[in-house]
Amino acid sequence: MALRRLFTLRLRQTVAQVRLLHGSGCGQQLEEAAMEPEPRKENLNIFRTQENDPAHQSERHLGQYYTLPASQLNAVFPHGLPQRYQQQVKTFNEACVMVRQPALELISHLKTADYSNPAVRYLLYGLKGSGKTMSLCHTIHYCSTQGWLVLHIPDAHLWVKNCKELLPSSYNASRFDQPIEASNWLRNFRATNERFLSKIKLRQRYTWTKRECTDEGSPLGELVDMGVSRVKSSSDVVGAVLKELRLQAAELRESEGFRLAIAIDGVNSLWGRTTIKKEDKSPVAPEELTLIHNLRKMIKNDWCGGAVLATLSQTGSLYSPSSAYLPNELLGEEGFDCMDPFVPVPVSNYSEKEFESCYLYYLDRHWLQHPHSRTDEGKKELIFLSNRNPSVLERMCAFL
Amino acid sequence: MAASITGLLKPWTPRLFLVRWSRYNPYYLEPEPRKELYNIPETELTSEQKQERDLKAVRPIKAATNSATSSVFNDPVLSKFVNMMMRDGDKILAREILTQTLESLKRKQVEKYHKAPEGKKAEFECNPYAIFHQALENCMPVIGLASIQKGGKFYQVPIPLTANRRRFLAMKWMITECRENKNRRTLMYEKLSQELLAAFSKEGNVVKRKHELHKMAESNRAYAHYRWWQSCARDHLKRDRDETETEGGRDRDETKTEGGRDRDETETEGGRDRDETDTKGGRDRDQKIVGDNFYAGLGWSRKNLRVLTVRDRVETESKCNRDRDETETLKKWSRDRSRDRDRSRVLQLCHKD
Repeated sequence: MALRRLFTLRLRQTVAQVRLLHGSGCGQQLEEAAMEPEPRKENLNIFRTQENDPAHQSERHLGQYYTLPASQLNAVFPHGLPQRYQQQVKTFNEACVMVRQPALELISHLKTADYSNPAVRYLLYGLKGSGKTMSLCHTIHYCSTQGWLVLHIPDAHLWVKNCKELLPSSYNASRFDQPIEASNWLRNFRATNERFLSKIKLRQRYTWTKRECTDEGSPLGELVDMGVSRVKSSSDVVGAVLKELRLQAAELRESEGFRLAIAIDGVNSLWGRTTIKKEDKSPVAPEELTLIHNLRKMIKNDWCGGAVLATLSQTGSLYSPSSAYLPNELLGEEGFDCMDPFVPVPVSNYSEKEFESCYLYYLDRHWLQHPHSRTDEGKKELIFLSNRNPSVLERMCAFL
Repeated sequence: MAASITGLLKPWTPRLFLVRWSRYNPYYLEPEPRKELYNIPETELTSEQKQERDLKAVRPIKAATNSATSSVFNDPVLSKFVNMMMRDGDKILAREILTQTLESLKRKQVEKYHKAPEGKKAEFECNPYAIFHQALENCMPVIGLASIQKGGKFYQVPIPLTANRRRFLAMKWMITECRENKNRRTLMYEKLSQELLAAFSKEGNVVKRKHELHKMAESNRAYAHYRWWQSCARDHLKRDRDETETEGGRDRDETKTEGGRDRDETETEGGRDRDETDTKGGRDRDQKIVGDNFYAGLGWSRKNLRVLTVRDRVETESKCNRDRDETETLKKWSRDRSRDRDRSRVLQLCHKD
């Protein structure tokens, strides 16, 4: 079926460029309506795709934006999206994500992996602002649409700095608890994975205090609720949840048919330094924190039936130079040894096609308001100043 | 020592350079950062532009400031605003605040735009630059007050303002309003965006302040004749060319009731005008220079204006006719050198003999 595409006058030049770049397999005819005053409602913009299911997206859709439905947005991402992207979603009244090469590569790996083998670790790395977190979010969306159980830690750096309350752990005297961060995370975890909480049963009995305990065979939901309400023991609850899921991942895959995805943004914080200090002003090492200790156990590939998706991040990291972005620079020796072997997925700045797509999207959403930004000169200046870096471009277009 | 002025005005720096009062020798030309002017082909240059280009081949050019860009997004009004917001020379912070303000303005408007139904979408102005310029326009006062001493007392006399002064006042009021009268805990960009949006729709404290100034000027119009100087004629000419309609309209709204009052004043001043008949012709030409539209819009007649002497008329006319301030600055510069020149002329004469 040949679809007619209609474009307005100002898109004519960019259409000419994009037409060469898009090797569209459908053989659609692109017509320019120079005198057409407005595009019709049912026309398909060159930068949007109607394919909203990440499982069916392919190289054909590279550079195009797909829409996340509003209902899924709150369920899948209560806490995962970057700050500026959340503002953009609020302003544009829609959540559009660009289909890019790193995310598609990761999704194809997940589709073809063998889940009877130990979990594979995937690591997204790249320059600052190149789109690592957004690629991770795209992959998480794929995992949720496929019915996986997603454990998403939005920013592991937040767990190693600016801790308001640090309690000595009840379970192990040498470790420290972070009740606020743990209870927040449990609340968001509950929001994401409501349907699994009743299905998974505990294998072990957990005793919290002399009077409180969670019995064997009770649903995971009970444990999570307890962690949210009893803030003091929430870090240990997190540890218990992770342990249960790790032990049961392989069986759950066979019995229930869902897999476990652990997504950590800023995984280099697990092996770095912290800025948290004990009462005697000596620094706390990351392994002395309960949350970090349990996460490290999760990342080890001694369990089957799932995958570990990780992102490196220099932005929130402590004591690392701002020019560092490669895995061995940011992870350090200890981290690299723990993560090794992993599948590295590089994330780069926008290609020409992706830049065009982004530019057209901003024009469509009435975001580029400066009259000169719609001219060729302005566009060249944008490319020059941002170097096609997604976050720099976004910040620049914000005030133009 | 050379006799001519140009000989003295070659690029010269003194051996001892006092930095505090230093300025460029007027021989130096201003730099031109705008790209489009260099892309005009040879054939389309006007004679003025050709002259300037030839001058640039022989004259040195001043160093450009850090804020001069050839970017298409450069806006001199915004640069001025940034400079006025700047504290302790921290232009990076001032610029950051301005960009955040523009972003916040745009976000609010675009959000409203996307949430509005189809028919109402066109109401929202999403361009932050348009909002900024319009808001500044709405804050600019048309007439100001000057403190003039007469007979031992100081009177607040209404005076016309130049375009620069109006723009300065609008920006100054906006910045002080946001710094002082708002909640201390709110960030500056948030305060600025709120105030700019209010000014755009002609509400808010800054527009109120402008109206109060206008009311003061209106109430003090009896002292208008205490002003003895004429404002820069060229400025009025330019302003009249640009803003006749909008200003006339705006002033007509504000001063509807002034017509009757004006008629009373003219009767009392009739006697004064009869004395100054010799400059009648001059008065007509003065009115043309001063700009009838401006004062007519205010409801003031010619009778209220102080009539000028012949010398003033000649000076203002020659100011308008001159292409550039060059000869004027040269005159000023050479006045300092007049002693040397005279001395050198005497020497020349001696040599001739």
